[in-house]
Amino acid sequence: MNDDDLTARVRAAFDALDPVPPHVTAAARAALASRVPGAVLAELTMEPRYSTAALRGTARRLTFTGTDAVIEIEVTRLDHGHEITGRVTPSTPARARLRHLRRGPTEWTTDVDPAGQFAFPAVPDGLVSLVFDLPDTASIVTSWVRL
Amino acid sequence: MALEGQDDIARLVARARDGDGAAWDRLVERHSAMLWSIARAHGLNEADAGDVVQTAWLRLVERLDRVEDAAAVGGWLSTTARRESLRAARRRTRERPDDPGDPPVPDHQRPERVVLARDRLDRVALALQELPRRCQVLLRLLATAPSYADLADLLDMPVGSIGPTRARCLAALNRRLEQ
Repeated sequence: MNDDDLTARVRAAFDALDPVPPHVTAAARAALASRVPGAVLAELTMEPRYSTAALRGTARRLTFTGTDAVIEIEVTRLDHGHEITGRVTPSTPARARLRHLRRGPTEWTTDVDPAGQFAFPAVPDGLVSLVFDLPDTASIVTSWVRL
Repeated sequence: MALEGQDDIARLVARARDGDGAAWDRLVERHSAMLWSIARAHGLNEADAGDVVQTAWLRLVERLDRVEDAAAVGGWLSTTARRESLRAARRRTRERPDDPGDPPVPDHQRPERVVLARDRLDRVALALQELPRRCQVLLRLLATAPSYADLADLLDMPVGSIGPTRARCLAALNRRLEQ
């Protein structure tokens, strides 16, 4: 049997034994809708390598760095989910939106206070990204992270 | 083995950037099996592997406006999936230290698999299980990747040596199928 035929059989074997679940493909298609056109990306630049976030009551600190702003958040696992508190530096009036993906998209919003601080008290497990809508219609979006 | 050239991939990325959902779906179709293979090759269970694949696509969406080499998006996705897989594997080790993870070739004897056609497919699956782990992973990744270049970083070998290694693994598989 030639190599291409054999490769096709390997692929068929894996397609049958361990197919990509349909919900995984569906989530990939839906990912395009998470785009915030024109937003400045703040990427995850600091994350503890061995986080203890699995333990209840312990916090994990994450830092996202964009071109003009730094967003630091602290994620604490509590009985009812994760508490997220954070700060935007330099502080700027903004509306913070927490986007959450698990079974489908969900979103919570809150105001960033004059000191640049914000909080989301009870966020379930899942992938999250923050969007900050600034007064001048610009926005900052953070990388997705898993809670 | 490439069904779609790098130019086509670059065009799809450009169209997706302009908001063309059909072009995006096409990118998803072309690369999802490869990304799933990468996550599973790291021993991740279905839930964690699903998170890895979704995260890789979300990362691409985040930087869609800034993709510099659109033709190399497959390689970028595979590298991202590897990084996210390692991250997920670390998390699993931390949270469930005794869980060894899933094998690269799933156990085809599981009850839900029994309904599968048992002849040719089973022989390939059994033969794959007898190969060294490195060959199992390599053959699976190459069978699902749109191009060798997409996997060069991931496999940690020069593009030039992927072909010969693949040939050796395929020869080993063929010998077992002919037994």
